[in-house]
Amino acid sequence: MHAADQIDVELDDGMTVMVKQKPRDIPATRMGVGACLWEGELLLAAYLAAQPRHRYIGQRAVELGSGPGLAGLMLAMLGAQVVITDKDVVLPLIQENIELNGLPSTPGTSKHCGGSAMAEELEWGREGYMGRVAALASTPVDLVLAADVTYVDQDGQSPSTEHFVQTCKGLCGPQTVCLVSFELRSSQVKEVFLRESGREFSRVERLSKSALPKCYQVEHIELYKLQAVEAPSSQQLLELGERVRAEVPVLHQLVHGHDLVYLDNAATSQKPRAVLDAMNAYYEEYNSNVHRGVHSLSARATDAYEAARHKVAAFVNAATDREIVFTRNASEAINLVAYTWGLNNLKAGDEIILSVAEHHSNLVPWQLVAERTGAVLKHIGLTAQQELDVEQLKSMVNSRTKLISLPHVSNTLGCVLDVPAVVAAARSVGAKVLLDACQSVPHMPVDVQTLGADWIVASSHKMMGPTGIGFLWGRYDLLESMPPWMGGGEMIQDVFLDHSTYAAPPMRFEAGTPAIAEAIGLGAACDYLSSIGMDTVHAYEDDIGTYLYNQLAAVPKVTIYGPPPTAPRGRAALAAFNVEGLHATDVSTLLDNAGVAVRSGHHCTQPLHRFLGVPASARASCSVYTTRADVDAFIAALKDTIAFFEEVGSM
Amino acid sequence: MQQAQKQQLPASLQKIVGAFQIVPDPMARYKQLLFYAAKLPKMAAEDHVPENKVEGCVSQVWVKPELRDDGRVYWTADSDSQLTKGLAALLVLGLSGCTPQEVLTVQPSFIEMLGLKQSLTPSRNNGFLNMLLKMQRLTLELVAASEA
Repeated sequence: MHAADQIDVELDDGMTVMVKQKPRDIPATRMGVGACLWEGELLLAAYLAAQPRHRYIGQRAVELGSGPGLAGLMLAMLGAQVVITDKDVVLPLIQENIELNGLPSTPGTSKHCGGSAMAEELEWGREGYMGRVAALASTPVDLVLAADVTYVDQDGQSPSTEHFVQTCKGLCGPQTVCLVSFELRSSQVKEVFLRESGREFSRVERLSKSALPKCYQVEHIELYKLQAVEAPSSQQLLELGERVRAEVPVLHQLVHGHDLVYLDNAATSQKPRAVLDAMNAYYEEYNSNVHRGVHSLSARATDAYEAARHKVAAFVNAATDREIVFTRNASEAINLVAYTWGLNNLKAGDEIILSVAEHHSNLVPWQLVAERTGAVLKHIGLTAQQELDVEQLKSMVNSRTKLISLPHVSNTLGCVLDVPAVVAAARSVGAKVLLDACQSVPHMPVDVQTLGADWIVASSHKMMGPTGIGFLWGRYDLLESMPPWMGGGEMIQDVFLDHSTYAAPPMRFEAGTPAIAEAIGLGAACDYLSSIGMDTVHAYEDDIGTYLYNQLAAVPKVTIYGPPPTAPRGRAALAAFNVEGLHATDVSTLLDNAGVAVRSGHHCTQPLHRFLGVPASARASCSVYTTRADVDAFIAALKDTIAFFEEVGSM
Repeated sequence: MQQAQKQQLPASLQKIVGAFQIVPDPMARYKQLLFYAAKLPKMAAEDHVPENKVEGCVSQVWVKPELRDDGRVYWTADSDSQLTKGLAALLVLGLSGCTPQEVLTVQPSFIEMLGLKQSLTPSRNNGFLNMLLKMQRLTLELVAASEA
């Protein structure tokens, strides 16, 4: 399928600008170049046209490998100051297109919102090209437009991809957004591209094409957003915890006469004022049922409810918000998959691979499904470092394996799953992958388009949202193949007395009046976390989690479960631990007496505790509002607690 | 009102409640609880069996009654948690030598008089409540068995 060969852009004054390539103007010596640039450029132009236009006015943009300069010209006509670059032989074509469109080379003088365009030579990969790149970047660039195609040579190397990514990086400052429209000539090219951009950029996001007209939704071109966001300084990080803390009302209280130190975030997180306000506003201003009435309040409620779905979709970078199914919680989301996909696709002898570290929510539904279908449950164990043993998983998969369902981040061990390895093992035998992302989505950037899983589930109340709502993300074609689960209103298309037809996902799985206020609250929580930035949240929690681990590990008689923070994929900002000679509930009871809230028990991972050979553990877990002062107070109270039991002679 | 409630308890339990009420500081009350735990006679290893186990506790707790010829119930107990063991010890000391009737009429709310902030909401974490209810059920079973 080929993209359309021109793009029409409606301008504010009612005129339509047609951006059209003229392939015949490309010199014959550049055979083929036009054909491949053509579509990538159009896709990029279409993507830019689908974004809010006003944001381009006055922006400085550099277009790479421009060919005829389609995307750059369009951006200039929308008010940006664009430098359109390519090899010298292409420059006359670009120059001609600039003139044909009446674009001046100096900003502020054109009728197109002051946009301007100029052609400059940049042939990346050619000797000394980084000097040209540096010259172009000497004035800060807001937007880099990079539509191109690169190749892999016979021995699997791709210097052109490397040069391309280095050029992109060279043009980017901390505020620059680099949009890449990348034609995939082979999967190897993509591999090299992702590897190189992962190395050069702190954020690599594959963009959804679902908002583009159908004719641009071509499979062989992918859109990426690259950003070289600088890691926040340690000072900024320290201030972040205090700032968020100030916005979370419940944290400011005395418990048993002590300032509350809340370290039970892996069980549930506290809610910022913004989330509480969003839920209150719904009840006070537009409480109404959704998807039904035509009256104004109902329309507002429906808009807000669906906007929340969109926010969740954007938060995990789903290709479309139709891939987000609201559920009561993550457990219900897993049950949904188990009772729809599971019961319809599993048969006697099929294998489901889980781990010994599963939360009961990702264990019991599969036990029930296995009982009904005759499928067999298999469990991977832990490595010496107490991470999930993916090597064991690789040796366990076989043609009978139909599903691998694992925690993305363990709620007890804090270990981070090697998802690419799990996905590769699953793909090798055609098995599906479900990730329990309850402990990852609230704490790190999760991009379902690059993750590789088929479904993920997460829970609102663990991500600063309200209780009573969670979500299932699934690839749309997969959701479409799943039959309804619970019947009721909302999920139907047409109902007759003896049968019904069902709505498309996600509505198919949302029977009855949903948790409207809770969905809106979850949307507000996504907004709140996004406004901080999940990279920043993750960086903050990495820091506080490492501090917690190190402080706790230094307390005599303490054993912490799971890998150290120096493990290749790190560990979550939580620590399940035991004190030698003490029961976890005794530790947490006295900690509570000192105002410190930690979890004690089996954390819904009884088999894991059995595997570790302990009846229970205590667990301290952080959020983005956990400060070093909180950790210090916890450690001091823990030392007091241990001293107390030692003094009484109970250890 | 607390005083009235206290007077309804078996005398042995009243004495224990009194001993806690004169301790002003919560940490000292926990210390006292741990002393009770230390005083609890050891439970025989063969009594750590499922029939004696208190279900629904995060810590492991066992309680075992014995209905003697004097028509009174005598208890042994154990737990892997020291604080839970202390609570078990209170109940063992407070309810050993009581008639089944006395055991069955103990209201769980007396625990509030100890100032240990024990919750009375049934939950998977509530060691004390589950323990008392188990002891009352075992007592009923013993009575039923002796009458049969």
